[in-house]
Amino acid sequence: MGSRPILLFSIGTSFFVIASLLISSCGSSDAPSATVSSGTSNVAATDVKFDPQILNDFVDKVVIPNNNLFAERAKALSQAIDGMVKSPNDETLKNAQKAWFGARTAWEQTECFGFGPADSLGYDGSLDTWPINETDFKAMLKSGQSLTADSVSKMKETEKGFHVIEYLLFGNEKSRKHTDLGQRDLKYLQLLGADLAKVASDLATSWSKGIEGKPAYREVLATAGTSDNKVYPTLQAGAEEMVQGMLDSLDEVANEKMGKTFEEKAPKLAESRFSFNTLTDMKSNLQGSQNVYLGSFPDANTSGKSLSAFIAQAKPDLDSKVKAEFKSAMDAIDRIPDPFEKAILDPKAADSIKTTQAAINAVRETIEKQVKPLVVQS
Amino acid sequence: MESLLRFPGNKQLKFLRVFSIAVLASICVSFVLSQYLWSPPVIPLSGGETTVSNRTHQGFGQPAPNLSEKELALHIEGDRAFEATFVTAPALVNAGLGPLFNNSSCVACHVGDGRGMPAKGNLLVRVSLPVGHSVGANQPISASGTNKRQSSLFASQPQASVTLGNAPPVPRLGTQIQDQAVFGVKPKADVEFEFQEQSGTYGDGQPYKLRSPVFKITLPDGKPLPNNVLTSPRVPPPVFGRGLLEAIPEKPLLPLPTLMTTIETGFQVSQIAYGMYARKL
Ligand code: HEC
Repeated sequence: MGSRPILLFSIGTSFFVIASLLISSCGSSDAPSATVSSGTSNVAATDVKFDPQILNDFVDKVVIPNNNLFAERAKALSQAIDGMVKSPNDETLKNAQKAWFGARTAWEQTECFGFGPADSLGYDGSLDTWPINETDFKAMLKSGQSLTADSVSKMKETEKGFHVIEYLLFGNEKSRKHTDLGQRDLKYLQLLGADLAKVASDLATSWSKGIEGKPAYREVLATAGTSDNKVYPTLQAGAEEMVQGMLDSLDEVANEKMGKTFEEKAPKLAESRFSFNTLTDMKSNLQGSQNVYLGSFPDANTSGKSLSAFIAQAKPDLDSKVKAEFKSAMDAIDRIPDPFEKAILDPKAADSIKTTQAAINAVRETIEKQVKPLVVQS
Repeated sequence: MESLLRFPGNKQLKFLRVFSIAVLASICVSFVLSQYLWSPPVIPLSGGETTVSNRTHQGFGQPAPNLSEKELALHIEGDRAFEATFVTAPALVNAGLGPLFNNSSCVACHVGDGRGMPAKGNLLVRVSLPVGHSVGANQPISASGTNKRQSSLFASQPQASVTLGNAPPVPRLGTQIQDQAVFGVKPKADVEFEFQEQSGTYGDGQPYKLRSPVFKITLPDGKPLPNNVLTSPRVPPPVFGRGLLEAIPEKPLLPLPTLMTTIETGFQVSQIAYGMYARKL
């Protein structure tokens, strides 16, 4: 062998070594994504791609119909309060209370999409701040300070919204009689009802059409991953937001609303304790998360392509598991005796509460550890 | 043409043989290399083991993934306090708001543990008199740190919620305007602002527009804030990661606080109620 074949041999060898190293380093460039997201899971990604239609249907078939129903019921509540203010009697008070429950059920189902406008434009704060500042609004009612739409809009968030209306309509432990409310109380109640209806309508508009010159949040989320979307630069980022909303809500129900109140045996921590509606609130929250998973909003008969369908395609067993866990959680919460405010003090009810808490945490964990990674890595 | 179609001669055959051996050898070598030398690259995580991978609206609110059970419980407890809404006493839950305040929960300003907005209720206005104002103009801050007379001024101004060495508090306002109050109490001032837009052109002729806030601060007697009061409107910064600062042991920082070391090291050490932090000047 002369010097030329040796040269050729070494050139050939080095060429292939370098090439194969390059190939192997390129090939492993998707491996780190598993390393990076190892905090969330060690679930292997599948080949199933997340369909953008799921996000479209999430906004069009779940979020918007739910927000619209809430806006409608908030308006109905405001009108029922008007009726009661016009002629305060047992029946008009009952009507207003019924309307409050209706609005509340629609609102609590929206909790798992409380991101976006509800959060950043402060709607959640104006609608549902807890606890309420009884000391201040009672002092205000006793004073001669003028009560107008403008003065109410300037009040603190703890002096308006669902729970102040609840207090005025139900009193402590659902003991309100229409004769308890004086002229100023009624006037205040009326202004608060109108304010709630206005904010609910703004919330609905902020998703469907956009408000204050901001684009509709519908567009922002449904166009996740398109080149000019600055909020959600990837489709997965939009999908992750949707999943995170469920996780937050399930966590809050299981560990705050239910967990902390039960742990401390403290009815004063129950969110809707004036109307004894805390248990129903929590059921609505749970229902809301299930709506997101199933891509439907039963109260308005709407449904579309769902996260559930995506999971079923990627890992059929996982989808069945999530559905079954939602069902166990719903069944378990139905076994807690109403009202929750009394159940937490009743030793006979303790098991039903613990079981429910565990069941909600189970579905939350499955979504966090198994569903979310599939969505993020799709 | 002719030369391309020519049947490979002896020489060419030899080349081909050597070349194929080279290819086989290289495949073996690179296989061995990729197995033993080329382990898949690990992308360094920006926060090491504390890195959170969550880019949702809750991203800033996530605890570090490597917290122990005890640390996580502490995080959750702190988080609850950060999110709790306070109300005027007496109250069954979270009593103790006011009488003066800026907002009724931490998270109302530090939205989602992230940046707040330049909006009423989120931003706050820091105020001070010009440096040295109350101790004689142009008097330099002494080498031992804050001017002694200025420090005693802080002591006599309990309403000064922030005591920055170079910001003498304003009588009756302190160093931060509390523009909210519980019912029946007058806030320290009313703070309103509007954005004004200025337009201009860059050197290359490209037009631009700049937006800046203009504040209107009115005192309880209806008069505007005097001109000599310096104002500094602040937007709430993100608040995640403070635990990392808390984890720094105090000892190596403690010798730093004098002005001399401050100048030498470029760091100023501040001691706050629950720990201390150094910031680059
Ligand atoms: C009225 C709005 C508001 C409220 C309420 C508020 N903050 Fe702040 N916070 C701010 C602003 C504005 C700054 C920036 C101050 C500055 O630039 O000097 C700040 C700064 C901070 C910082 C310093 C961040 C840094 O980078 O140095 C921390 C930590 C903090 N706040 C925590 C809290 C906690 C804890 C609470 C509740 C007890 C709270 N904040 C309540 C507006 C608020």
